[in-house]
Amino acid sequence: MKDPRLAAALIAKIGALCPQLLDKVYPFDAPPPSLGPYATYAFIDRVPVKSLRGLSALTMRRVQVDIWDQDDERGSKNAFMLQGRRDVPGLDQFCGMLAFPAVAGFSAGELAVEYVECSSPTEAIEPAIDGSERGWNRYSADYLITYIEG
Amino acid sequence: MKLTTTIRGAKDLTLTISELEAKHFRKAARKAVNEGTKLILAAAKANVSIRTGSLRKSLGRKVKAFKNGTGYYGIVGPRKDNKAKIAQSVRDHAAGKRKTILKSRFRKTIKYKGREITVNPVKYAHLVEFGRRAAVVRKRKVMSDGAVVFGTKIKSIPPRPFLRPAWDQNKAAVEAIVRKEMAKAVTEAGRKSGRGKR
Repeated sequence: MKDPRLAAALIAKIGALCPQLLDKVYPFDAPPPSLGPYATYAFIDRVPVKSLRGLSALTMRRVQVDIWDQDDERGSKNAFMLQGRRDVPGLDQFCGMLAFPAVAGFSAGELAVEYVECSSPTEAIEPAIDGSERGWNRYSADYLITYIEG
Repeated sequence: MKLTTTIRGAKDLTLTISELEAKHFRKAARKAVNEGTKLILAAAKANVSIRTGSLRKSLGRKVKAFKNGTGYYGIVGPRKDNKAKIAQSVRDHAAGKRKTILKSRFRKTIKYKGREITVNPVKYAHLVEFGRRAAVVRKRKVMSDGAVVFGTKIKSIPPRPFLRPAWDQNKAAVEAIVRKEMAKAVTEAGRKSGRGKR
């Protein structure tokens, strides 16, 4: 089941955490028009969370977030800003409300997020050998978002 | 207000469990990991998208021990093609004697633009799982097998994950298996130690 609110909330959150990626977050299969750094997201999985009493109202979604940049230093900085560190909060270990703008069928609002966990830490993938001098560095991470789908 | 509780035998119990851990739980841990990987593998095989069928066929599992002996871990993923293991002896009628041919289990030869190319699941499984971005190749020979230049543009491939959903869907079941095997091992260890003390 597709939930456009989560995608919209995720785009807004990535933009808020990394100002350089503001309005530069795209679905994985949609090619970006910009040449600068950008981020892509792909929803991988949707697993209903079970409690001891059976199915709970929570849903866990795994989302793959990739940051693409030709500048290695800037890309890794953005990736770590998105993930967060001990002193700088990021998407990892986030809990609370995620604001989303108005999307198809839904007016602007907030999503109640139980917990966000970075299940595989940001991994830098070497640019592919394509014969160019500067390839695209990729910083890939998986986030498990547990939220009330409603 | 201060409350004090005394648990008789707690120290002995902790000692007994720590003594038992290495020798009695090792087998149970291995069994639990082995059973867990079976579930993950079955789910991964069900999830994987099929083009030639090589990737699905190559998916396998193994259980390994940590080098420091602290436990076991399971690996599920595409296997390498070890040709030497599946050498087949066939009769060569022209030469009038038997010869050994090496067969590949997972690599497959497919036709691409009228030319036969070999696909190796180990080399593209990560691209199926994580996807890849579109690229324009500057040097034509980069996308070449030495004889044929396949093109200068690479299309973006969206991720078609098969391993991560397999883990997400079976995480709870694997945890239950580990719990069950460990509980069984504790009972067994207690029974054995009780018998030994008598």
